Amino acid sequence: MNEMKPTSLTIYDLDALQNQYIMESYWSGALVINLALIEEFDSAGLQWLTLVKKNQQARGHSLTLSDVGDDLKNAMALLGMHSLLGVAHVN
Amino acid sequence: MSIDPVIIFKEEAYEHLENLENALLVLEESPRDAEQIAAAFRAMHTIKGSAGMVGFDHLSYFTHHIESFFERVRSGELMLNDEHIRATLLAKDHIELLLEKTPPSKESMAVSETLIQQFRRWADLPTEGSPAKSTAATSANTETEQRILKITIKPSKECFKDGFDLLPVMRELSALGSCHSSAHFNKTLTFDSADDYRDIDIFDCHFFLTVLLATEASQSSIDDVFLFVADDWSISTEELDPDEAYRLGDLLLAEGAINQQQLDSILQQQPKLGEVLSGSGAAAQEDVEQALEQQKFLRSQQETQQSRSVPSIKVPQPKLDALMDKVGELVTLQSFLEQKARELNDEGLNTIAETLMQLSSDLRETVFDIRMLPIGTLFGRFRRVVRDLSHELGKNIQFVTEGAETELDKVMLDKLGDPLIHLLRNSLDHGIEKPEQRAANGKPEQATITLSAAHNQGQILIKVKDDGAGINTQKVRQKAIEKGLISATDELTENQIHQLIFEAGFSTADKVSDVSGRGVGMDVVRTSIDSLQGKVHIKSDAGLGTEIQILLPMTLAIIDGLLVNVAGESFVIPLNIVNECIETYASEKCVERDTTLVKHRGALVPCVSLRKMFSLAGTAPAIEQSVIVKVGEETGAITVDEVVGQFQTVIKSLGQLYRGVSGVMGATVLGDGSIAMVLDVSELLESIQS
Amino acid sequence: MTNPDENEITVDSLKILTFVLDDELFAIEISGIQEVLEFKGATKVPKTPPFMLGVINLRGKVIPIVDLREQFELGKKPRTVDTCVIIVQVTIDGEETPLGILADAVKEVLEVPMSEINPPPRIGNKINSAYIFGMAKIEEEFVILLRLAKIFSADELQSVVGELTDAEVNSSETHDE
Repeated sequence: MNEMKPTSLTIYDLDALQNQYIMESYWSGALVINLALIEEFDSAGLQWLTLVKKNQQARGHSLTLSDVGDDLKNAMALLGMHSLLGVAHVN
Repeated sequence: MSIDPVIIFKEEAYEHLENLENALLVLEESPRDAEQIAAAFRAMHTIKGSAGMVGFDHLSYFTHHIESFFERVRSGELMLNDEHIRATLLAKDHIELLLEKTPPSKESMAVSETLIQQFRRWADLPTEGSPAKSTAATSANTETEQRILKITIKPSKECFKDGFDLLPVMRELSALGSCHSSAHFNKTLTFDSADDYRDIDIFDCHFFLTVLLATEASQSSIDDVFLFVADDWSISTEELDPDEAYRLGDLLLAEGAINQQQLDSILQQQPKLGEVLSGSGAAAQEDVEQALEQQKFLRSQQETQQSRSVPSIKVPQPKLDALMDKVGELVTLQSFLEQKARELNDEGLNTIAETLMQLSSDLRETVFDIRMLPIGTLFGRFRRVVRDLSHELGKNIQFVTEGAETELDKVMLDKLGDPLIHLLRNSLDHGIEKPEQRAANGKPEQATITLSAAHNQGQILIKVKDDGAGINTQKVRQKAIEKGLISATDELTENQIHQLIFEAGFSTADKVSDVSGRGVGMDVVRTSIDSLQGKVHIKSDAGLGTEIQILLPMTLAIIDGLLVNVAGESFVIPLNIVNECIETYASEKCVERDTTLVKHRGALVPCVSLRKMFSLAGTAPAIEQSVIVKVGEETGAITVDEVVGQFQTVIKSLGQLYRGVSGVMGATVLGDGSIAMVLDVSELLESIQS
Repeated sequence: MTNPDENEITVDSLKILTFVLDDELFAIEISGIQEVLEFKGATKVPKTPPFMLGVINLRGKVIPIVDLREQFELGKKPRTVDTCVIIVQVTIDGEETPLGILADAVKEVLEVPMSEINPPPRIGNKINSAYIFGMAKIEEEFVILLRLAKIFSADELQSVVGELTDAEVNSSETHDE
């Protein structure tokens, strides 16, 4: 199982994240993205997560998000991506 | 003293009317002068907008019609003729009249109507019934009954690249009520192969949102959320009938996940629609899941709506104030009873006193809660100011707000609007550089102003932050010397110099600018914040920007206090900053550079002796009490003769006469009818540190 | 924004309340007066000038009391049974605020024809003539008519409090009880 542990999820990080994903994790099946270290994030970053999730699912793999902070959960809910990402809604 | 928004509005309106008149006079000669047409339009647009905000609703309504006419002139659909210009001049005079008072006399309103009729005819607008799309027309009525809206937000494909994030917008929208969003990804995205995935431009926006929002906010406050993005994004709003049960099929249909034929044929097949829909492949699994969630949200909203058959009652402010006063009196009486019960040492009476204390404390909380409003209710107004000003000044600004849900006492909220607008104007006018200049300095052309509110250690912290040029320390220093605020030989840290801009009579703008000038400086901001028992502080880094922090108490009226005695006089220390009380022996104190220090948990903390500070009579007892307090990051001690105990304190203002007094935030009436001063501990600590 | 003090009103006579301060007869126009109370001491607000006596509790409201004697630099006088407080409404910086004025004794309410009120003499006054709007002669006695709005204007108060912070009032032995 492969794990990614980004520190930031903003539009400025996407190039690096996308590279890492394609180079290291694309073919490896189950992927875990650990979000414990995330300090900054934006809509583009969350969209990327969702795109990766969809991509994994389309190919019969999984993507699990771990250590999702409340701020992130809230943001995912605000963008209506929580159910797509399989993250429980917080209030 | 506060800046009366009505006075500012009138001043501005007169200026705009002058611009309008000038424009009209030029247009008389050359009716096609686009610049003047734009100027005239702008003048009316601004008057309309700000009139609505300060309650000149009729004026706003009247100007709206003239503006609509000019809108058509501006877009080239109409050509100005002499008659138009004459009528507009009349309208301008009429606006002057309407500025005098609101609501205007019946007679004035009748005049408005006859003028409007004329402009409507020219603009070829339907003479009646067309609901104005103007936000000003509805702004008088900012609260309506709760409705459920379905808002579809389609961001532009390039929005991320353009620097627009959806999150701030969504945060504000969610602050208007309870909301549920679903993201719908573009169906043309495919993930069948690695190439498919690589072909996706991850910097483009690939989804749109449907948001269900249960809100009492008016359409104009909702429109305000999208003010900055409305031109590029597609936003549509639809009101849902709250009484109708939304069937899953309908929701999916509305989302475009299935079509009517598919739905009809599936509905005929019966059992569980969700399973059938995804099973039959008519709708994608995720669409069904999202629709199910929406359905759940709608049901929960319907339930809460039904559970409160009386959704809300509007109460006039004075009634609420009267209630607050009565609660204050009750609290005072209760502490009297408590004191008496203690003296009499009667168990039965003590029990009653305790029960009454619990009750009055609960009552107090409840009344406060009624008075609390989210600060977000102010943000819409700010957004408009920022937008209008940035256009006017030719600056490119992203306005971000955070913490819209932070609740404040309504009374404070009302008094906070003006100083915040002033700070925003100041930041826009003096702080933010022109785009060219920003680019030349290697900064993004789009500047950001962030307005945030949050709870911070029992207080409310509001920040206005920009990434502009920062304060020119040298210039401020120079000015302060010129104004005699400091002398040329004073050695001040950069930070100390920055605070000088809040001094009376200080204004850094070389010329009085149209925007934040008007002779009112930042001292007005400080005065307003002072009157709210708040603190204002500025942090600035040259070239990087400025941050103004405002720290406010949660409420002004009643706090939990610690009653202390010095020289037979009573004082109250707000309990929320008290850590503990310790005994202090004279021998334990030591003095370091004029500051008395006491030992507390192995550390030395600076200490204020109230007796010394306030020049109170008598000598200190051998064993004094020190109340250890924590204000922000600073720990300090207040040394007193005796600590009496905790009691609910109704804070009364000392009034205008004692405005300049430091170290005291107000007074309170004790149970025996005598008065105790409520200490402003942060000021006391500051005074021994400087 | 109309300030009652600036309004031009033509009146024939003025109703005034006369009171004694340091053996001189003063008067204020009556419409601003709320009530007259016995003086039982005030709670001093720390670090304030001597003329600001402190605050009292009037039916749950906190009301500041001033001693004009200090402000006018008249001599000190011990309190007697006649000492009282006149509660007036004054406008400070546009805000109507109640305030108590200490008086050695309150005399009477009079109606004075405008014709008997003369402008204050420019010189020979103990008191700053800006604080006075007129002098009247009543039964062979001079009455000084005070301009409360001016005495309690924001500028005047500012200068008093300003001086105070400069001089650090630690030495003021003005404790009252």
